[in-house]
Amino acid sequence: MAEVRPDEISAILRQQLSGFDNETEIYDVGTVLQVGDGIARVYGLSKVMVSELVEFPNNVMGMVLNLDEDSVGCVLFGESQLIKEGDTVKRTKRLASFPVGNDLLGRVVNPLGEPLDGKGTIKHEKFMPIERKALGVVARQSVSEPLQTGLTSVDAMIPIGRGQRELIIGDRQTGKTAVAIDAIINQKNTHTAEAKAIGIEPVFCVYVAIGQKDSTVAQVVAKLEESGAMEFTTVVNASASSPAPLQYIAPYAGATLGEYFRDKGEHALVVYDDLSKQAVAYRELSLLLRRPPGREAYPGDIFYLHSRLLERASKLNDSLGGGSLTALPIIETQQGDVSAYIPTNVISITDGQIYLEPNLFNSGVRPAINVGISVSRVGGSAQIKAMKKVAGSLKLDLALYRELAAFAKFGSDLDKATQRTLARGARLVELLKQGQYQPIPVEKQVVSVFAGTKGYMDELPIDDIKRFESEFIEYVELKYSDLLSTIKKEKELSDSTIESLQKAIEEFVGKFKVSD
Amino acid sequence: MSSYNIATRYANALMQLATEKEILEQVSNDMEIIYDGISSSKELRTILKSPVIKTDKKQSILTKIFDNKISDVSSEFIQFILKKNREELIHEIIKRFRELYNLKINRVEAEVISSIELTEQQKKELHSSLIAYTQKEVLLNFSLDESLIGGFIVKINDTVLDSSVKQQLGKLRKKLFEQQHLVVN
Repeated sequence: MAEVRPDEISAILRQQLSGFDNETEIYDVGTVLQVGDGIARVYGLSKVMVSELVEFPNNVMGMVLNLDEDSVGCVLFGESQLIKEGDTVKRTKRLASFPVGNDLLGRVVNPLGEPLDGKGTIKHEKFMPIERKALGVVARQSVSEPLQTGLTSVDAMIPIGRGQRELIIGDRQTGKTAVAIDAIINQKNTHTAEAKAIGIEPVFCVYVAIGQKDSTVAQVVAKLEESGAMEFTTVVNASASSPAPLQYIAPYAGATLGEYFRDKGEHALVVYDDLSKQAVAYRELSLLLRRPPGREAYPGDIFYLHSRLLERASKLNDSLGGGSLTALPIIETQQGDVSAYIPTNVISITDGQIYLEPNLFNSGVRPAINVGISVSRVGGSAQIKAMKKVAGSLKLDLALYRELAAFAKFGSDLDKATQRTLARGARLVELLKQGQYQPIPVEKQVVSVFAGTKGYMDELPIDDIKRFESEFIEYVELKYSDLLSTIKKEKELSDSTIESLQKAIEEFVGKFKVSD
Repeated sequence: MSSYNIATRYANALMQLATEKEILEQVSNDMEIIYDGISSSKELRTILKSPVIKTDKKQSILTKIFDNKISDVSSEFIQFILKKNREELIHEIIKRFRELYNLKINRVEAEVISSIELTEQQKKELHSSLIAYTQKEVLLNFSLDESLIGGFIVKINDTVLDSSVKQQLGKLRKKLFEQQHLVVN
């Protein structure tokens, strides 16, 4: 057994004690008047600020939300059972803030920045307040770079740009989280050396889980780790068992981390999963703080709650480094009711929405995106030219198909043109189906959508479409690998590219064997 | 309305009246006498709180206790509180009055908690340095608390000046934990 040398111990202790100053500590205090339901009323704390962190006994932290005439209303980030009437509350003189830094990547933390993954303390660079004012007009510029989600239907028809706010909305069990996770996984392509060479800047991701089961979050983390996406992702988790105040501040904490990257001139993607649960947590707090309830018992400032959060998504102008913060908020609807209070609020705030429908999901269209009513108001200008070219006819074909599909159910005698439109539409719908956690790079999306919209698949049986797509892409990768890299580099479909693409398709169609 | 607000109103009224009649110091002394009297007797507090005992009964009790000891204005004020059925709040009102009075004469009350009895010399030094710190007249109250281990704590209103050994050990403990990279969970 190795001997323990006393002088060594004292040397270590001395080293650790260096820089320890034993000065008088000056702090302001208050006394707990009332405590319960995650809320404490405190007497004293005379100079405290709104949203300042205060320290209760037993390492429980709180945040000041109400400044009343004779008391201060605080929300507790810990268990209220640990606090008694008459306890002393200390001011920290620090606004509620979140530790930021590159070391947070790959970690799972709570909204206060404390690690939840058992991988030790995190060395943060600095603290940034969780409530930051959104940038003004001068600091911004319009969205211009694409944020590829890896989902063909989204990237082609509902494109998202860096700095955009795109709502993902749908009932439970329609794959909302899957869309967001796929988007995070697809950002792996922006972290490669190849992407750097062609000028695509990396996107750092923050996944904010609000009011979810810990087991669900663990699954998401495992999936991200498995696909290598965790290296550039931070998961901020306020699970269903954590107190409502933590669930309330979680999205702001995530936005702060995203802003840290944005302000450095880098790019960030923040997923808020989901904001309906955050609204419920905030309603709980507000009612306990005796703020007057309004529609659906939500407080009057519920709109501001979400607007100030989503307004922080932005694309900075070039003089500020050109960084961006893209937000993908998620809202869960009840029975498809998008006219409820919270969904209408968030729809009006965001730059577009992706609708997911249970009917589509159940009929096997996955991702279950209803492309008819999903929109992206600003993403179009961020789409790469090659995709824009092929997506135009895709949108048109699908719109025609939807229009006719409703009528086609009644009549059996359809003219040739109608039959052709229906056949094309059905094949395109099939083409847009995509497995979970299998994001497709944009150049491959362009190639397969091109094949679909140019009618090369019209003659194939529907069951063969997916096989055709994957085998065709494989074929292009093997035989025309420069074709993919040209699209990736030039981001355009030049005439020569189209020519060789057509050649490749024709060659492949000749070789493709229809299954019996 | 909360008891805090009510007490502030009554205290303010007394303050204004006393200032007008220029007997502020006298009234302040009277209030201290009443405060001490009520604090020292549990029976008196129970009687004042009891809803069963009639107001005039309470009135006569208080008059008997404090008559001759306090000025007419103070005595009338107490009668007034009783008439308004706010006798429960007497304690609170006097506390608020004390705060207002201290504010008026630019004085603060400081509570000094030390681990051992301070010498007169130490008390003097502390007094003068606290005057320099607050820029106000300081009224010191001393008390002992052995759990501090060493050093002392000064409480002025909401502010605490903590130079106890207990606080320093706590700080050291926190620092050592941080350096150990222990999982905070």
